[in-house]
Amino acid sequence: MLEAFIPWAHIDWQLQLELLIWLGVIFLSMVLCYIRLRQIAASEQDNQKPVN
Amino acid sequence: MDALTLSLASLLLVSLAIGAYSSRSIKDTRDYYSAAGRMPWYMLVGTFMASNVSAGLFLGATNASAQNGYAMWAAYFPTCIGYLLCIGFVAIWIRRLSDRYEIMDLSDLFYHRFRRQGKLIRSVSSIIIVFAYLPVLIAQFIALASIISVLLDVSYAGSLLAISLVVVSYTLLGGMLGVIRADGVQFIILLVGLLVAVPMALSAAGEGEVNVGWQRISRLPEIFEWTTPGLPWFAVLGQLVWLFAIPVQPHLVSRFLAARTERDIVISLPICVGLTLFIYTATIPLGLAGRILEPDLESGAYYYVVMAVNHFPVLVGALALAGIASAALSTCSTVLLIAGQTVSRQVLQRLPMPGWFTPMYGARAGVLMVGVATWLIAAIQPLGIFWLVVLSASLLASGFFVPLFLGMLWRRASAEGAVAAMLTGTLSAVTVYLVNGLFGTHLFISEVFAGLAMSLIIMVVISFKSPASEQEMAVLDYARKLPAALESRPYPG
Repeated sequence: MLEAFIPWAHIDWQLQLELLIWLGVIFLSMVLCYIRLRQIAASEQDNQKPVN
Repeated sequence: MDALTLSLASLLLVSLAIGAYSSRSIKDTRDYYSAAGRMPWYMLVGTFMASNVSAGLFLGATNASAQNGYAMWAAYFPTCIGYLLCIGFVAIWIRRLSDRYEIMDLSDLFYHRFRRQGKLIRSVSSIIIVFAYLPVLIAQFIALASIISVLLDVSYAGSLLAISLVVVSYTLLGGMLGVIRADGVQFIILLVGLLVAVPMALSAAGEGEVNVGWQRISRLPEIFEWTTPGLPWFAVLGQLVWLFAIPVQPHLVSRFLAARTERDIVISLPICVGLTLFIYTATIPLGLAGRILEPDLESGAYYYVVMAVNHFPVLVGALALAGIASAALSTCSTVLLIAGQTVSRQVLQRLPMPGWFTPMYGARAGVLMVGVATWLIAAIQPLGIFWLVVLSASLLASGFFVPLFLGMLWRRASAEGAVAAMLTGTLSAVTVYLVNGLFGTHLFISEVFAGLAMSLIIMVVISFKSPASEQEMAVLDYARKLPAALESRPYPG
């Protein structure tokens, strides 16, 4: 019944959880990369500002 | 000369040429061991992935996927968390510290962070590295020589001699610079091999139609369960060892010393984590297609190799098999360099040597000694070392994970605590491994959890009794770029 609506319902929930963690870590690494790159860019800009 | 011989010979020759070419740019031992500050992000991705992916993934994991379906694949998920910790944290710490301290490997990081017992902790960590890595190196040499001898129908001794000569030569000549450049080429071959092998295997399983092949493998019974009789719950949970082992494996961590800037490391992070998913996922259709194409596979044979030889067009098969050789070569060279470095710095450089024996000679002699020893042991093919290979990741995780992460995240973590944690962690892991093996028990699920728990308890207790010095805390502050270290604290020297 459930499979009519959710195509992957026949897969063990533990298996689904493992896949979710996997995809979540990829997403997390992208977010961390984005945040850190922005921090590095901001600090580089600060360093380039003339000192009064 | 057939396509397979030509592709394998070209791979070996190109690796050798890269090593020889790179040797011209090496000025000192720092260059030799760490290719300090030269590599952009795409080279980091290539070297990290090629070093981490060994022939075992193509051979063992594909066979395991054939028997256990997605259970095997999903069990690898701790790997990507390990990548995140390794690149997102440890790589950045070690790269930052290398700007201020002389750091050429993980034991140097321990030396500076736990300066009060610096020499002792460097010796202990070096012993663990050699003990954990030598069996891996021997096993990789045996696996590569066995595959080549079967594929090219040459003697095992002959193929072992050929690969030993090539691997030792290009590692010895090019050092880390040569290894990273060769890894780049080997990673491309590995990736292209996988990219062509997957549709080819599905096409063969679907008698010329990839879609039909995909439908056939999806209908196989019992492939969508998280555990199977062949992969019980404790084996799945045991894979968590990679979460703790990858961030502290010296051969992975040390290549980030070669990063041009911190930005290059940061960019390589999501790419490596994403590529892992792709590479590990590729083992599923390969394994399951193999199960359909070769239902009566002989014991000891590998689906990947049999499919490449029997079901792929000649050129594609040669490329797919060159991918295995690339994966094995890159792991061999990188582990050889780390083991050689440890022997050179901990043994050779402490012995009285004549004046002409410069540190560069010492560095190359270390690689040569480990290479020759590996070749001699691999020639005997001692099967007894394979239990040490299984234990290798657990040993590194149990010995290094807690001292490294607690040392870099907790200012109070002390040198005495770290030494005790390394020793108790590794000894507990070995003990539990032996007990579980002898009595068929699953104490602590896997030996790594016993090692981690013991090292954590010991390090916290001892660090509370004798906290770290200001000088040691300054190292932590600098690695994490905490304001205190950057502004007010004196240079710890």
